[in-house]
Amino acid sequence: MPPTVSMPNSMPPRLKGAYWEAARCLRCCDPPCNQGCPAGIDVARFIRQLSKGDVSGAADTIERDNPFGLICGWICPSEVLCQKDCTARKLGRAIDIRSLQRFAIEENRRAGSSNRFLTRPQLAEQRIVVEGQVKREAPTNVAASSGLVAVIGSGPAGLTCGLILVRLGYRVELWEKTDTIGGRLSHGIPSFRLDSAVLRSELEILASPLIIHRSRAFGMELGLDDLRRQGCQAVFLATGKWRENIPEIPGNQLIGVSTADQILTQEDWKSAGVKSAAVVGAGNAAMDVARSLLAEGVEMVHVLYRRTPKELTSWDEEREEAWQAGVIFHLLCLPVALEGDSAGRVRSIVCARTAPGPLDSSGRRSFRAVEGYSFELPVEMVVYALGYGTDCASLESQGIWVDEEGFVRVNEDLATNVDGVFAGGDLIGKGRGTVVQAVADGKRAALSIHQYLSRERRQGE
Amino acid sequence: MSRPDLKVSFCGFQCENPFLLAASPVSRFGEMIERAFRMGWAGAVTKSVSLAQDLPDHSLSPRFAGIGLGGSGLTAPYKGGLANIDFRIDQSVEKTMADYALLKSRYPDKFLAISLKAEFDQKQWQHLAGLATAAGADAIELCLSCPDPCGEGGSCAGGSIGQNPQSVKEVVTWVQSATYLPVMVKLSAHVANLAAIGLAAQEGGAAALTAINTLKSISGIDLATLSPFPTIEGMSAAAGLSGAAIKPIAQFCLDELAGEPSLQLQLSAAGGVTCAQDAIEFLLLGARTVQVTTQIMLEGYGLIEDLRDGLAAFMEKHRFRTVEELVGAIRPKLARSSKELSRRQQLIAQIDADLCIGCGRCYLACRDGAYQAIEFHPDRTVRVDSEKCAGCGLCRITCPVPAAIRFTAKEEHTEGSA
Repeated sequence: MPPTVSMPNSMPPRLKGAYWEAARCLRCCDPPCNQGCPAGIDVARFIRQLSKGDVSGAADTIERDNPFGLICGWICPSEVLCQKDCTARKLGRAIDIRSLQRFAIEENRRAGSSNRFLTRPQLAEQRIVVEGQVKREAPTNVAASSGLVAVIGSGPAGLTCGLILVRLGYRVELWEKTDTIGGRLSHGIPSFRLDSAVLRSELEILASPLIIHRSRAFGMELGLDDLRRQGCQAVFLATGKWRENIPEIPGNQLIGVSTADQILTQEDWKSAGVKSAAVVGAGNAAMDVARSLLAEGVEMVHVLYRRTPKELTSWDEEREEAWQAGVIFHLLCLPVALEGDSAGRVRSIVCARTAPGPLDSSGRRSFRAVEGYSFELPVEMVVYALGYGTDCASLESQGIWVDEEGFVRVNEDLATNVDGVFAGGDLIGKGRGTVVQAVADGKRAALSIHQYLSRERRQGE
Repeated sequence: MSRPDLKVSFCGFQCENPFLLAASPVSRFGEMIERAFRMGWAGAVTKSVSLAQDLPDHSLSPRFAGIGLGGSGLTAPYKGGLANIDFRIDQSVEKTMADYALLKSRYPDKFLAISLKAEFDQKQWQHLAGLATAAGADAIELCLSCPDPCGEGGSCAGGSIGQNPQSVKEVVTWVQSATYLPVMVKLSAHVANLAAIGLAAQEGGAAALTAINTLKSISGIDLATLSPFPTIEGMSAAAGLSGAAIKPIAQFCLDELAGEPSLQLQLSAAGGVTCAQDAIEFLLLGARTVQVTTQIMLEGYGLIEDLRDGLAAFMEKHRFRTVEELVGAIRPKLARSSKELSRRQQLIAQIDADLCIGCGRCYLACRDGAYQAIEFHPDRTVRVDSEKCAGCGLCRITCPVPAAIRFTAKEEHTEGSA
């Protein structure tokens, strides 16, 4: 029996109006919301169930396809996924699907019902959405499943894959580099976006059916050969991206220079009493950093971005919240140096103005510094939030191909170049970086691994 | 053109507009009715007074249930109806009548009908009629149709009287002989022949009929507890259903009465009036006044502003000078049966591509409920197959955008597109 969950007592306004909101759904034909969910949730169905008062059925529909349904109900960027093409938008406003999802599951947790992904009598036929096409896959040969699979990384991709494989009859051992499970969820999502008690209890439930080895990093000390020696017949790599990008400019050694992860996961900076800060980068992590700084009493928070709003990767809602919270945005500027005082502390950041250049390899416009056009902002702290790179060395040491952008190369089944080794989540490509996409990868990898092992077994007979 | 005149004569009283509070929780006592009068209601029929109300108040709790549309009763945001079980006046007959007398003396221009209910007993009815007359009421309404069992033995007193033309006639005759006031009779839809009941009231000497009272209903079941609504110590019983859900039935009943040639009584409509449009419909069907309860219970007496202004705007637009002109104005357009209607008119649906939002609801409805005449394309556009379209009208009902689907004559359409 999975552990019980704690739910916050207060209910935000958008959740209180859930039944009214669900009733607004048009119940349209061939609903676009269903094509927008990478994890394959039958969105239209759960909204319909909610609108008819069947809140338990709604939770069932969500969690049959997404074990992280509750967490996605807090942080999924629905406006660019299921809500993007919502027909109700043409009547003024898309349905607030994310809030409906959170409401349905929270109501069920309050009523004492645990995560339906785990309590279902058997694994449901899995729906996966690839490029807007809904695919259904019902695993076959389940009765004959046996063997040991290693999952590397305990983020949403790894946990989802492990949970499905366990339900298919495999033994799964999960290896986690840190002492905390959850991956990016547990390292860097501020509590104003996701209640930490909810996250903890949800992760605890999801981890309960799995054997997890903590503080064991993949790479030198734990390689593919070690796993094979232990009897693992397949491996799923979902280690994520953790190496923070830092520009090479003078002054990075100064006191007061840090990275997004340090701000979002550590506490010591809070006692420094800093009153002004510059955040370099304007992605979602940068927005989280900027808001966390404001919340801790930093009075002036500048966000520096070298491109224009058109190229921004942060979600509109996150950015709007940052604007409203008081963050000051500087667009078209590029840090070129940090100045320090005599005590070795950051005193200011020097930025060059930028201008648009040609398109880069990702199709985004590049921006170059304009000669002789710069400005200096007095700040006591500089935080780099420029995204993450892959730890290529540990992967390459195991013979796994990594492309020039640092992503692990996989085929349609998420198989890498090494036989029996699959990869997913943030490791494998752009446009990842969401829990729901990680869940989708975890599902796809689990089904691919099941297919692979069934094939191996047949060949062995 | 001058402002339309909303006044209407009803039971010999000049009402400032056709809108009255119905005998119900919204007209329970003087202070409530007074507030409604000040907001513009033309009059009120009081909550029914019975001799049994001197009993200590043991009204049921809870006594209302919301009837949801498109979902369960508790969660459906849109309430299509209200079920009411055992709502009674919680003060003595003496206090109630004194209350009404004071109210009438302060608002002589407002129409006040006192509603009465009793068992099939001449003494009780005549006693109550005497009290109502002494209170200065403008009319008496007899509740012969309450779906609640209100007799002392639990027998459905008022309600059972209304089932039988003979007893209706008798009660009206008793009351008639004990008062000089006009008598209104409130009818139930739960009868085989409503016109016959109306005729019996006419023979007894009634001045007007009110149709209809609430309908008997079961308010649904709480699936968490397996107990019916409204739940009283785990149990429930049939309740009286009112509100939007019963409007079409109330209109049918009104049509039955207005369409009976030998019935000459004035008619007052009740049942599911939620807005000016509803009220105007009842007037056009033959009612002289319209009584309202449920929508007031849901949104307050302020509803009168919508009713009054909506009626005035409608009359101006259609050049009706008085409400009298409006009463029954569409009666010649109601055939006695659908068999009498023309089959020459053949229509076809036309979907306005600019207004269409591509939801595909019309396609689903037509595919599974009609003639498979609408195509839904992968780019979310729709097209009507003019060969298959039978002009049934279902698609327009499902469309969320007003005026996106129109109907034109099939003949014209084929000529035009040829």
